[in-house]
Amino acid sequence: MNPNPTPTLLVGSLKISTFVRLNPEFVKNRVTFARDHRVSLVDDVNPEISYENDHQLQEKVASRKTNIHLVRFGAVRLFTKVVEEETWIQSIDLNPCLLLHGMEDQPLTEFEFVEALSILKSEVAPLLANPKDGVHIVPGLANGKDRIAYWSKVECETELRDIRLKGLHNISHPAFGAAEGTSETRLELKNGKGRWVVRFEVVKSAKGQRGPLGVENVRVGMCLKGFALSTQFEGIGKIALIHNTKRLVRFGVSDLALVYEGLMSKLEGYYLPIPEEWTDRGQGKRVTHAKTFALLAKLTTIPVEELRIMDAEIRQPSPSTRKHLNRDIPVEFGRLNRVSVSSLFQRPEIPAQSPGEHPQADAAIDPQVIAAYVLGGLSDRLSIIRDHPDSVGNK
Amino acid sequence: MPPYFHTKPVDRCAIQSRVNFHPDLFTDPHAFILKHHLPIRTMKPRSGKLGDRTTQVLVLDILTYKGIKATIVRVDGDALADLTIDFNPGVCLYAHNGRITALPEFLDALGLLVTHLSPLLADPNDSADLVPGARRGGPAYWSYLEIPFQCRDPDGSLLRRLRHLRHPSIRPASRHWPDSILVGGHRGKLRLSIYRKAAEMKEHGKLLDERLFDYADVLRLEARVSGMDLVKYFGNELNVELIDGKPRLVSFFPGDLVRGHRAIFSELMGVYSSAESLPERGKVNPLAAMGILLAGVALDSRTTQSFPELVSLVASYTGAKGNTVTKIKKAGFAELSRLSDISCASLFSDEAYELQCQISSPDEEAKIYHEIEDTSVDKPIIAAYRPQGQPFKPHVNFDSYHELPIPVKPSSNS
Repeated sequence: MNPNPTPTLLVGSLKISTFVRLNPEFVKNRVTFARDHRVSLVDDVNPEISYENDHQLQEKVASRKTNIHLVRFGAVRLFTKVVEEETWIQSIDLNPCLLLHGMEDQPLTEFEFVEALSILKSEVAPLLANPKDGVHIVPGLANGKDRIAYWSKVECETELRDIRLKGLHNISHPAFGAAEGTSETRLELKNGKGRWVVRFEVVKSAKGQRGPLGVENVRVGMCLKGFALSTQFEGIGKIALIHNTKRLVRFGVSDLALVYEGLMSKLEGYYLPIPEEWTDRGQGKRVTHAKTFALLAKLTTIPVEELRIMDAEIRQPSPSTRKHLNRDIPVEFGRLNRVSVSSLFQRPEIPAQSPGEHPQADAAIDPQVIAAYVLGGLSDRLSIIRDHPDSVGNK
Repeated sequence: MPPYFHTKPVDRCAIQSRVNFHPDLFTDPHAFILKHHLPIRTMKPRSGKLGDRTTQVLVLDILTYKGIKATIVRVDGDALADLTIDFNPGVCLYAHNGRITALPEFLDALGLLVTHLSPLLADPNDSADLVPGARRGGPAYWSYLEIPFQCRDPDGSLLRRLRHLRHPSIRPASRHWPDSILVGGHRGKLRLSIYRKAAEMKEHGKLLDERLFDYADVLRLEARVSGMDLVKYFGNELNVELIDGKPRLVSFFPGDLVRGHRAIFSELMGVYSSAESLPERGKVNPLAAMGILLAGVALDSRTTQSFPELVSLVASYTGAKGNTVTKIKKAGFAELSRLSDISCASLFSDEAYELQCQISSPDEEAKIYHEIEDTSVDKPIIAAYRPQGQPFKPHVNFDSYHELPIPVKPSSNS
């Protein structure tokens, strides 16, 4: 049973690890520099200043940490650190949907993903001390031993419709164990250090025939960090050695969908929907012992016979009650049908390529980004140039 | 029964106040910190709007490790600024909160708070407004308290039994992890946190692996209280004042904390033994029978769900309404109590509060050094937190105290 049409993949927040030096002039006067170099600086985000006692100098030494938002708040976020009086970008948060569409939770085409990476490079490159460091903004643009940048976090999600979170039981995954800390609206699986996270979260509650039986839409998100990325994208995206550690340096939206499908296909546990007959008010009492025995037998490993013995010890049912139970329990038991939770998932859809209608659509697409992120050879890259003649340029 | 308690079990807490800060602090906070050699670890300046007026916000982490954080909000044109102090006495003194602070230690920690925040004020004499109760009619009050209680649970039976709890004042369902339970929503005025403290300290890097075994069975039962529940559980005619038209908790003696914590946890349903007997066979109504059955199933080792979860699932799948669910729950909780061997009176006895398990972490504690004079407090503060006539008691229950190396002040010559 799978009540869901093919879900669409929604790309969430991505993180790039790198280490490139900011232009000191930008550090001195961000607003003026950004304006002069046509960089869309959103805000001079308030810094955090740390103080340490320097015992040699016998004085307090301050270091300043900031994060800088570009294009729009939350779309591109640079995390910087001062090292020996120089300011370096150590990581970049990118939300491609927010960058291109101005809002989250929008499907992203392969082309739009490439476009987002190109905009990222074009916005950040002018801020760097060394123009050649532009290849270290987007992972995969540099080669061999010159590589610094890599993907350090990837998030995405799909939506399961008409599913009840409470109908999910014994959910676990071989990579990170059982779900823990489940609440009314969220069920989460993660390994101890949070490198792998799968999260089921209720989006809204649609009232069904009865309030408590209303079904919900559930977002199922995946977050991978660190070595979990290089493990899951092995053979799918591009993995490279950076400082002797395997790192993810390139992937596409369809690669992400493949990884998502692979992870979800290994989920263990089951979904137990409410039988239609139980939602029908015309079918007698809501709560009956027969329903309760059937449900408990499905949710636990206690057999129905044992539950009946426990019940008999409590209330000594009459012969007619026993007779009704003999008749009703098998019927109710037969109505409760489990499906494996992994069967609720299929490979998410990537929307078809369409001309961008977003404000950044007229930005030039960096040929280095095309070379690294558009697979399939020269013909595919040429088709990008042909289909979007105004979008491709050298920057 | 002793009238005085020596322990003053306070974990994380928060103070609200309104004070007059030094104007230079807002003009150039960075220069102010450097000029006065303040022990500030980080400073985050922000600005905002309140209607037509600009607000300046400063978030200061005091001390080189956690324990005191001050958030100051000043509205343009106002002489006074709102102050929120996030305070953890145990962390101030030990760099962790595995110990249960004694009364003298709590006073030492308050002394550190006053010492390190007073330099920020326009007039150091206003330091009385940093600590609730130091000045009658002052603006300071307690806005949040976490009250811990640590006991031993070697076979895990107490934690297992607590999984079936319900607190009548808390609506959201409990959340369960292998070694912990969280009761209450994120914004709730009353929340309970029950967890294996040593495992939590190890996860946060506060306890070495080799010490975990010594404390693996320590279970922490924490009450997290804010808003009017502070007055409800810890207030009395002596320690509540009207501030901005609302009754606020402005001080507490050790006994107030013990009685409040005990009151909160004694209200739990489905945990403690009761003298109620099982209803006579054949005279149990169907819904009560269902509740008793669900309680039995919940206690079965083949079941992973707690009793409240099972009731919620039955209600969710069948569409059972309020009254029906109430009857099932009532009978089920009564059955759980009938089958329990946990005595509330024993678990939360006066002796249990006085002799709580302590977790020491010498590696963390060795990082801390304070000048003695930095820990002293004025008499009004002592009077607000130490009952008159409280006898002196030496620190003989800290078994690892004499194992700790004498702290050495960092040398100024490198």
